[in-house]
Amino acid sequence: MMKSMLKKFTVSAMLMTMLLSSAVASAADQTIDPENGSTIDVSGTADSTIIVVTTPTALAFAIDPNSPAPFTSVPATVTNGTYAPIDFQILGIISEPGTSVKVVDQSMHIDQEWQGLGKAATESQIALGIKGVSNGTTIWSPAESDGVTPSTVAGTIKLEPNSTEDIMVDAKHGNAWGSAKTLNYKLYTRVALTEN
Amino acid sequence: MSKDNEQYSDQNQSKEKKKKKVTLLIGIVVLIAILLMIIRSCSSDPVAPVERNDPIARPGVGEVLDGDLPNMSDEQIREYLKKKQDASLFTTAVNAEATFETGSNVLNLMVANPEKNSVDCYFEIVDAGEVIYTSPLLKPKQYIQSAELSKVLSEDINKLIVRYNEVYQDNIIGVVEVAIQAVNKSKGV
Repeated sequence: MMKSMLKKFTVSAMLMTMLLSSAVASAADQTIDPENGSTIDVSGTADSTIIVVTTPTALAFAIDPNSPAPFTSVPATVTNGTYAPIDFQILGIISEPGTSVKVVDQSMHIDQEWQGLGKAATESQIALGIKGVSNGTTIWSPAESDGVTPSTVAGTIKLEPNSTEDIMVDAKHGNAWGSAKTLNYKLYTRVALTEN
Repeated sequence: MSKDNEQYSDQNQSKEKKKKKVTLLIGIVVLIAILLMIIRSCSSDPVAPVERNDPIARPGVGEVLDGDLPNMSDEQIREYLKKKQDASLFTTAVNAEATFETGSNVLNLMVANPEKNSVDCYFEIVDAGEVIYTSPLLKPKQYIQSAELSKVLSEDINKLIVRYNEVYQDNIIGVVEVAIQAVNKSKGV
């Protein structure tokens, strides 16, 4: 009697288990069927991007007032080592202590006026900018102010993920140099993940 | 006797004529010489020093070198500029997103001075123009993973600037900024 009861109980338990498992299976089938509009929760993690950019921080150029093309600069390479697009922003250029030729707004003189500047103006004013070699557009630095670090974005050069872009210095200046001068300037830039 | 006198007067006359001719000739020669001297003195073309017998006054002292003025060639100038510019290259490595807990002034942020840099650096964290953290000096291949700010960030998402200052022989030789955002981790933003 006990044996038969135990048998019946075991069989019932097995049937219940089979029924339940088939119910779970059918429920699972329902969840992953994309046709019936059910939603699936997907979770994942994304680490913060590390911004890796190599950029020049000093400018180098030469002015030979005895040449028909007095201004010489060479390209410098900005490298975006980030696997995301980057905005390379030009904030400004300011003279180092000891450099008497200050950065002024490029619109201070028209081109003809720049060439016709006298000695005093030549040795105190220069307009400097950064030119993207690929597009040829110059982003001119705003005029420098004593003790003020440039913080406003004057212009942006877009860098594709893991790419490089050549930039070079552009300038407007006079040609009446009374003596040879060493001119040193600091370039202020900012990099950021491209917003859009 | 009268014949002798006539002969004598003829000789005198011919002598006088000769004298006159010689005087005239000398006069012409002198005149030509004077004219030549005047022309030469008025000429702008100076007499070459080597043709002069008189010693010329020395204009000054100094070493006179042969050749044109010694200028760098275009190629040399470009090489020099390239070398100088490349020496200023600096690499940043910063997390684009930092995190913080509500009420805490500790910012979890990875900022490195990568190995490829050749100079030391320190960095500042700037919030709306205010410097709220200054790091110690980092040598190449060193990094920082948290920063104790001088104030607690109030917003859930804050736009901050990480300003790298490159240092060489106690002078700041370059500045690069990286724009990041700080997110309140407690609010699960």
